[in-house]
Amino acid sequence: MPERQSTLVSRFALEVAFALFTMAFGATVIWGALEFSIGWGEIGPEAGYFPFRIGSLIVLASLVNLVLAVRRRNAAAGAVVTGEEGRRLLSFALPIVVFVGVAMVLGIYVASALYLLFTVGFVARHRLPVTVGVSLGFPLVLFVLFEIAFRTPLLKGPLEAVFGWY
Amino acid sequence: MFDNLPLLTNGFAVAITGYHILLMMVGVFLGILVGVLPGLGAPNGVTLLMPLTFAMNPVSAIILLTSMYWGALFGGSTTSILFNIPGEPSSVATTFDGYPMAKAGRATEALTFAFMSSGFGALFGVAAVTLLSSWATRFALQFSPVEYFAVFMLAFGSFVAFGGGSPFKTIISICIGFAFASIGMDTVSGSMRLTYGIADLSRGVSLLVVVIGLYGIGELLSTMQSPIKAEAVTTRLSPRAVLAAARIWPRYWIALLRSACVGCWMGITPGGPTAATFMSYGIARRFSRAGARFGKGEPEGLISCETADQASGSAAMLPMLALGLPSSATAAVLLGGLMIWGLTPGPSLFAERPDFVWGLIASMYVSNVVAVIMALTTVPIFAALLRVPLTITAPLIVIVCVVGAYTVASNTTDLWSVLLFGVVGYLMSRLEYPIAPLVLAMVLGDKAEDAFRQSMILSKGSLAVFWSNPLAGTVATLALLCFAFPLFTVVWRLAKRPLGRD
Repeated sequence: MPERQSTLVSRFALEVAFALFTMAFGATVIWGALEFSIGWGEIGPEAGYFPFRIGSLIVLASLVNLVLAVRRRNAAAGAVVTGEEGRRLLSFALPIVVFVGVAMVLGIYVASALYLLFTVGFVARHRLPVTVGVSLGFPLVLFVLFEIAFRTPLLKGPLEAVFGWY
Repeated sequence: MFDNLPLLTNGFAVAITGYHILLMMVGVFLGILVGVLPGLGAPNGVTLLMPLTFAMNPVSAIILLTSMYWGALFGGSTTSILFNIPGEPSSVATTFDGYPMAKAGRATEALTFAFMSSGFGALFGVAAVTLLSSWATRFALQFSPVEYFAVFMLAFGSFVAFGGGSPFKTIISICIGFAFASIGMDTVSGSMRLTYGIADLSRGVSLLVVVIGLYGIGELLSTMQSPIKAEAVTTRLSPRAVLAAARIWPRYWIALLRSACVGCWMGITPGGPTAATFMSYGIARRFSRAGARFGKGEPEGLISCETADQASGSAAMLPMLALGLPSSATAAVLLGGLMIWGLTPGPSLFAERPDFVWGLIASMYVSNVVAVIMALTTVPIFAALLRVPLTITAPLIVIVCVVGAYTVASNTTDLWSVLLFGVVGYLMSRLEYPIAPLVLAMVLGDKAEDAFRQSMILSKGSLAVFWSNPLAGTVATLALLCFAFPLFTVVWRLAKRPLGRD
């Protein structure tokens, strides 16, 4: 067993990155608030008043988090994501992104079937009957549930159109 | 105090129909399901189901959704006891004694105790809601925007002071929620705020999409990064063993009553179920004669947190209905639902829609009894479900989340937003940024801003208005103390340092 697992992302790096991210978010809020008057109008605080102060608070608190992260740098040198975990995380997360991308074109039902075929069959290598059962069965259950039982149409693509479902 | 009884009777007439009992069973079953599955919890489950209830009558819809909430609280305990995996944050404390009991071959006893205590806590909480509601609405009637703003600030202050973890991370979480809430149409001036010329932003950021992303996808990513090896213990429940456990259960009446009171208190004041369970567990360990055995499979520890968990969950309905103040993330989502159904929580809701309010309260008595029975009888089903490998359930949950995000508004942009919020939720949980304050701030953001602006109009811009009467003054002072709490701890640590150094 290796003494230390490989560190992909250290806690320190992620703390700093996220604090910078929230700071940028806060700055964006301030920028958006400045489109309006941030002060006092005739009937009380104006539209920009509240967002401006919220944005400023986000920037300030992010600064404190940043300082705290730097001061506790040594304590946070350990991994928040190890190499092994990073691989697992990406192999789970990337197919989701592709799934949503495909859903835009082929609709949710077909995209789900393809996504399940890939993750259950190809990535996790379950037996063929399991893979086929899950990847055809689940979209079918969804279809019956949403299109027929609840009459809540989901995003559909060309395949459904062939059968007259829009 | 008992003048509510006729109203409650009417409520029972509304709530107890065959259709509603069926909805309760469906809700509880789905609730246990989301409570058991990783990545789906009470807030997320209620959110996913909500778009399907838009077409329902509000009473039926709230019965379905609240039943799901109770079911999720029960389901969270099942996994804690049998698998040592807390299905919900509020059932973390359940694992301390529940899993050791199950490992020692007392799984049936542990589950029976947990469910019956949950049921007791829930009924205690509902009874408190019933008895206190007219007092709470009278109290709420005195509220002007000034008091409302002070109370909202106290709610957020208590997250900062008692939430545990870094107070500055809590502040970030609260403010991000407020910022999201202010995107879109400004209710006072009518101008479009923080939209940056992006058309999709002009309809605002959807609470439901944010919750599905942060809680659903975010939790799944965390779970997949380091999957917990589930070591299940035997899950066969014999009716005789259940009855035997049920017979000795009343012996723990002191723990039951004490924990129910702690739970109610934490449910009515903004503490939430998670804080309630830990507080109840801590108090029980300190005062119980069995305190030394806590953490090694002591039933009293298990009973203490389960009772408090469910008591706080049902008691949280009181501030939600009477003040529009949710004390947990799930209550916040339910509050969002009320507004979508066109109901405004507050004293007027009690006056104008007694059928809704009392139907809900009456249904809580029944649905929790339904939940105890269903939780006990479905244990084998859900234990079997948990043996399905995560490599199959996780992709299915992903699809459910994506479908859920689409049903919110049939908008394809939401599918990308839900992924974005998933990544943010994953980072937040990795770095210990609390998520519940963000959800609460999103729901209360507009109301808090309106209350603040109206207060400022009343006082012509003077902050002194928050100390203009004893009620507002007390609440505002408490809120300030809560926000200043982190400073006190810093000062305290600095003051102690010279002595502590050796």
